[in-house]
Amino acid sequence: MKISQKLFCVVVSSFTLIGSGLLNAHSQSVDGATERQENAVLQSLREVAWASHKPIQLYYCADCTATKGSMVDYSVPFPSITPAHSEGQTGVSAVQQMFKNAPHVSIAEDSGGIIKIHVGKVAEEVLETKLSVLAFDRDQQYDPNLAIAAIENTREMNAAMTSLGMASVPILGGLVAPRGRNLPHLPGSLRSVTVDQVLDLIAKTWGGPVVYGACDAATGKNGAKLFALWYGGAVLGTRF
Amino acid sequence: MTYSEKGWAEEHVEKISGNLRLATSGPEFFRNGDIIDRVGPLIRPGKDVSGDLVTRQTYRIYYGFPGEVHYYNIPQTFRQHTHIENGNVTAADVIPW
Repeated sequence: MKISQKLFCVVVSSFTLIGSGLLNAHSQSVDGATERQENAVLQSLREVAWASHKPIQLYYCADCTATKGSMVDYSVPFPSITPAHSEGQTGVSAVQQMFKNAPHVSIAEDSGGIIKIHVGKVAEEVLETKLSVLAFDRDQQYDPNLAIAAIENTREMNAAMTSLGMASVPILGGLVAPRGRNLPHLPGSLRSVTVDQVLDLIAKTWGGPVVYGACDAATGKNGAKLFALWYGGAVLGTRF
Repeated sequence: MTYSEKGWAEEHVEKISGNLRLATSGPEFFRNGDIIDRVGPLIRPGKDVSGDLVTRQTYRIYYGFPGEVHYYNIPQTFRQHTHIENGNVTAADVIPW
């Protein structure tokens, strides 16, 4: 890979996972409800995206003030939203139905046909960062989360984070998309694009949702405002 | 048991503890009978990052074609653990529950 990454991959061959280490088997779930809500929202958005053939992006303002003890909370908490059922509807109307009970949500389809959802007032300046050249290696071309990691590793993005007093949180894990002929993928490189434009391309290639969450307060080490950026959609191996 | 050569894998992840964020994505296409799951961070964390994450996860496999999709659950629950200390990843593994 061009960028310096430390990836830890576990290959599941014949569906046997190989791992090592011994862990405490009695940890308690502290975020179960939040996780379930996040999963429910993202799953509903995936279904709308594919059923409507409309790529989706979700931007949210995270309440980061409730940190856990002395540890920085790098989870950039997902908003507490329970999606309403939206059967029989498609596109923007389906998403509006889904969020009908959620406060401070705006939903609009942009000129490129992408449904953009904003939850709260989201600090998006870092997404306006201009990238002179963004090169993807083969893995990054075929895996949306690795492509997003490539964005975050650019010199321009790091400079923007420093000047804006922001820091990205580590995103862990996830299934890895295979690469190969006829599978959806990004071009090998992009020139003179903003981060938001690259996220648009990712959403259009795989459907989304592409998710960006930014903290409403400076809770990171050294007073940084934390943000999380990841692909929360499906990678179905077919053209979106 | 005969497994599908290609299809879609879905991981169902439950966060047990920790202060780090997990990528929550949807079904992922696979082929050649191999599913690859990544543990640990996607990019090297900054030196000021310390934390951990423990999850319980299962996998579901979908196969077939439009109009006739089947699925089965991999009969094993896994525990994933990542620990980062001052930007160094000191643990990143998956073990059977």
